[in-house]
Amino acid sequence: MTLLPPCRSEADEPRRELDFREVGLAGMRLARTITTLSTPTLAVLLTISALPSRAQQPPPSAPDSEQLDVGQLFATTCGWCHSAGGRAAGKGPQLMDTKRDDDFLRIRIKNGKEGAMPAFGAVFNDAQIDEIIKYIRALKPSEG
Amino acid sequence: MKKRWCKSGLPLVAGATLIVSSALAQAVDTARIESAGQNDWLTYHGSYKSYHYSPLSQINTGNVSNLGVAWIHIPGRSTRGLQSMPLAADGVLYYTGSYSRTFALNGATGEVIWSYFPELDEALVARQTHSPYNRGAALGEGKVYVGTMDGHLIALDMKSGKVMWDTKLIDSQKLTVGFTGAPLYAKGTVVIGSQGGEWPGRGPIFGVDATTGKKKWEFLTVAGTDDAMKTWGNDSWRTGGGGGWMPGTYDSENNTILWGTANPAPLYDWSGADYKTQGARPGDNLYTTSVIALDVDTGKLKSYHQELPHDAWDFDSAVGEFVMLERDGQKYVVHPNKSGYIFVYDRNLGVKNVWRITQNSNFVKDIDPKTGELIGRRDFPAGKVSEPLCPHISGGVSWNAGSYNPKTGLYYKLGQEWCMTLEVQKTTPIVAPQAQLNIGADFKIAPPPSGEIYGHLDARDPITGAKKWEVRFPEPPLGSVLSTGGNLVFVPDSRGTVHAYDADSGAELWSHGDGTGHQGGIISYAVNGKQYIAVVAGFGGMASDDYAPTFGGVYKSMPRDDGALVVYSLK
Repeated sequence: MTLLPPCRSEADEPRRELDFREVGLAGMRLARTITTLSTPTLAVLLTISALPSRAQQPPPSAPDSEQLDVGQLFATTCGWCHSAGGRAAGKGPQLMDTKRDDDFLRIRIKNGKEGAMPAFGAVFNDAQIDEIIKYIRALKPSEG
Repeated sequence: MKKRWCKSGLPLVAGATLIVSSALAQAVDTARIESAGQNDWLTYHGSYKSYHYSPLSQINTGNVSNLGVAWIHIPGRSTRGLQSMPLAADGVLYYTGSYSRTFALNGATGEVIWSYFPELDEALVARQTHSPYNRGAALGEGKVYVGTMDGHLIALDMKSGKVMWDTKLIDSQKLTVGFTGAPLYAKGTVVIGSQGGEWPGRGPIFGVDATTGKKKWEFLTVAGTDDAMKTWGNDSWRTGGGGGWMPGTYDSENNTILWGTANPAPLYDWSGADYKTQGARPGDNLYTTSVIALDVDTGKLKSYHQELPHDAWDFDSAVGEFVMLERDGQKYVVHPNKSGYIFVYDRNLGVKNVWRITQNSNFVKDIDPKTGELIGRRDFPAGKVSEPLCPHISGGVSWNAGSYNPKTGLYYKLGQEWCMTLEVQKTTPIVAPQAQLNIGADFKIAPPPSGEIYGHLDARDPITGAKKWEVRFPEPPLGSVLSTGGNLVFVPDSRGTVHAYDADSGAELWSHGDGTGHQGGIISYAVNGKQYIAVVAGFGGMASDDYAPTFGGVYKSMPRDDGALVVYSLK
């Protein structure tokens, strides 16, 4: 049986409302704060924030022989929301011809968006995210 | 970091009078859930018969035009909207919101008696896709049971909301998935099924001791027996998917839990016609996309029917309610599969009939009504699929329940008409550092061959499928259906309107706007002789994600992070 610690009385501590800023990568508020920082500071912060907490493992080091097959990645994972391999709006926005700049895409992929997109910062390293951004920029309407 | 689980009730204010009638009432136990007292809604599906029906008739076809809002509750932080089925026992309403926020409310006034907000692993939640919504709680033995996105099952004291036990069941940090579904309480056991169809896991269903919180049993929907192992070629069971993410029911006569299982992964296979020996997961892939009967005490498999062998279309059996009927001395179990085919079984899961609610359907030509055999199935090789697949991945029906009304003898069920373009690709399951989705295709929603996408409420004979009447909606409603002894059928739609229809004719008798779209539950209960209809509103779940880009209109501005519980009564 799981033993629970005794609870402090409400007089000592009001019910704890969870705040986005406490939870690391999640949440637009944190992302907005980050984008106002200088690029080197940003890079440092993102590296730190991408480090694992609890049972997470570090993002994979850049594979030397294998490149990330982003097309396959879309069919595996991203295409759930980014329809037609990123070419059409669906659960998520259309990525083909997106006006968003590389920094935005990088932050979004790492941090996600609460209730909209998962955070992939622990899954992909910077080199892999570069590959994903390259794939997005190269998207063309499919033939036929 | 050590989790803090603490009760979070309201501090008592001098002079406040909170009448908690549950203190005087009988405990909610299996017998009481089974007898389904008319003033209560003691389990997700209304009773173990899963009718989603209330015998109350104070609100009826004669006076429903006088139905108005009695009170509203706003749970807060409703990311992905509200998807839960409220429960009611002895004048207290219990319901959950996103992040497994759990409330006990005075059923007559809406005043909060207690609330409990578990502290979840939010970094994990940020990495999940089918998250952080919650479909509801279970009641039994003086406790409220709720699952969490980080793989816990928690028991709260019914009167105070204090945590009685908290058991971690899934290594969600590694497997990504947790619990969105409501648990089921029966015979001293709390049963809950994991998410999993889209992920490279094995989709467990758990039986937990209601008193102690100790895990009693675990059934793996992916290759959970030696026989089933043989139906997964090339060790594909290791990343098989599966799960059982909606509550089934309890058959007390057979001491059995009936449960629907989820699809296998990858969702779309490249095997082509020879799926038994080729592709990502050669074989039938037991026990995915099946209905299973487990011994409630041991979790051992007693019988099963695989509704879609080698499911190549993500048409889970997990979505469907198990409607327990009797007709002409025969006992039946009616169970909708996500494809829109409705299976009619005997109590041992032998197929008695199969009928289809979806108009636009081409993933098979048909399903043999006598045997359940798939006829003319479409299995795809890698590459573009020439003719759009119907129905769409959101299903010919979804997990929102239909309602069986024993007075009319009709089953009121929502059907969905939409299709998809599809390009199948070979994928490799990603299991480290954390499990990722394994879909197997690029796809996009498409209109059906008949023209526009639409949804429809059908009044059908549950055994034969004969249609009595139909009401169409421009966008498929995603909320559950409620029917009542007052001869009414309530449908909460996606634009935000709750409709009440005459159960015999389908004539619309009343409607009211709840302010945002519905994708959750609706119940009826009574307090001190007054009948209430309680419905959750709040859009933003999986199927609803497609609505803004597909339909535009009101969906463009509809929030996906808000919701409310709205309760109606006669003025």
